[in-house]
Amino acid sequence: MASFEAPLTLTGRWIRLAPLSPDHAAGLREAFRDPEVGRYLLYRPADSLEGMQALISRYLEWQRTGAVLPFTTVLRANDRPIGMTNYLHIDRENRSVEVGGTWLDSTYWRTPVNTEAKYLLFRHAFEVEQVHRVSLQTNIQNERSQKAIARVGATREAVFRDDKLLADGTFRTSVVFGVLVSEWPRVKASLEAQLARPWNPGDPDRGGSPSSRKGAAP
Amino acid sequence: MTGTGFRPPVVLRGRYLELRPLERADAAGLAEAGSDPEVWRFLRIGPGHPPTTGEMATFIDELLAMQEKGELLAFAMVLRSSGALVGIVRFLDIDRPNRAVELGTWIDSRYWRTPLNAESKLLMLGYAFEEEQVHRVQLKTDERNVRSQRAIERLGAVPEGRLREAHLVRGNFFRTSLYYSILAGEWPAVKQHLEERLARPWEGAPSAPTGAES
Repeated sequence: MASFEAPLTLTGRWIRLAPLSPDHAAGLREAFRDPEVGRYLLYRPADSLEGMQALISRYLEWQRTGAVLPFTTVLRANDRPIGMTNYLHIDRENRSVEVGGTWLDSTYWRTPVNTEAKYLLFRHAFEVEQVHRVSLQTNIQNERSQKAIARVGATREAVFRDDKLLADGTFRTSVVFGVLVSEWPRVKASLEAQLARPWNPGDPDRGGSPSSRKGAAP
Repeated sequence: MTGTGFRPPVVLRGRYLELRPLERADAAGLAEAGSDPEVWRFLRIGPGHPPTTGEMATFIDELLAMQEKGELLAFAMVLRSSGALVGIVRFLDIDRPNRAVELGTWIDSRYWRTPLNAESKLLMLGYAFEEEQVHRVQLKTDERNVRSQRAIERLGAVPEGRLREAHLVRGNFFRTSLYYSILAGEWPAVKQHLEERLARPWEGAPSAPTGAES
């Protein structure tokens, strides 16, 4: 297995996953403006530029441990940061990795952006890093995320009760999904078929949402 | 937390067992305790076959290195009546921010189906929930290891699912792991159940050094 070493850039048709950088703080802060975006995030930034800078610092700190590789999701049409995603729990011993800590400007929910991000991260993990397994997990209360993970083709495997302590002092129950290397050809074909559908990222200067997607955020 | 924060030295004593900090000098006694290949058949770590004293020393070194990093707290299981070493229990994946921990065990197969496993669980769970105030204790096992699954279910741990091919066993097999947990709110019932099991007499309990440590 290769090393998940930074800096790594993964480029797709619509987005580029670029190494997370302090330079992205202002853009990410703007992308985070809808409070729904952070509702289920384990590490939610404070509602300020400093808050986003602190979140970025935290992920870059984890990157130094070798267990996390963070990315900024950049929309290629206008080069703007529209979210974050990560390799987490990079487990060289068991040749497994988690994709998570993902959030996306709600303007881009239900667009090909998330699908393409997963496609790029899975493809690199299975084909370049030669992992055996990719995991994903989410809060059991976050049904939107569970549906999105199921759409990606991952299998629901376990429900870990109260396994994470949230900032408000309550415990969350996590649902864990997995994709195995043996399933990757099927998952890849399905993601490619989803990504073959047309999409117009819209007018970049207006943050890019076709009017038909108005109300995509719940 | 009123415990040590899962850092050594911690000593836990029951009626039959003393759980005390694992040491490199335990290698010979633990190699003897692990002389049945069945002990190693499903374990994710360890030599995978009855270990030599040297292999056991290497294994202990690996555990102590993880302990040094704060990820693990390992105990030698000592039979109080004879001083014989009969296995290792350990807290692993110690997750302080989430107040969660995993519990892992192996025992000399000559003591399978004796009260030793129940007592070690009573001591370890009591420490985790009562001294360290954890919220969640996780257990996992190989899906092929039915004996271990029954033992975990007898504890009253709740099955939570299976992570497919999640753990590479000695470089050549990806095992599917079954997961279970006990939450702090469930501990009083689990504890009472363990205490009831332990109140029954142990037929054939060793009162002095026996063949088990020859």
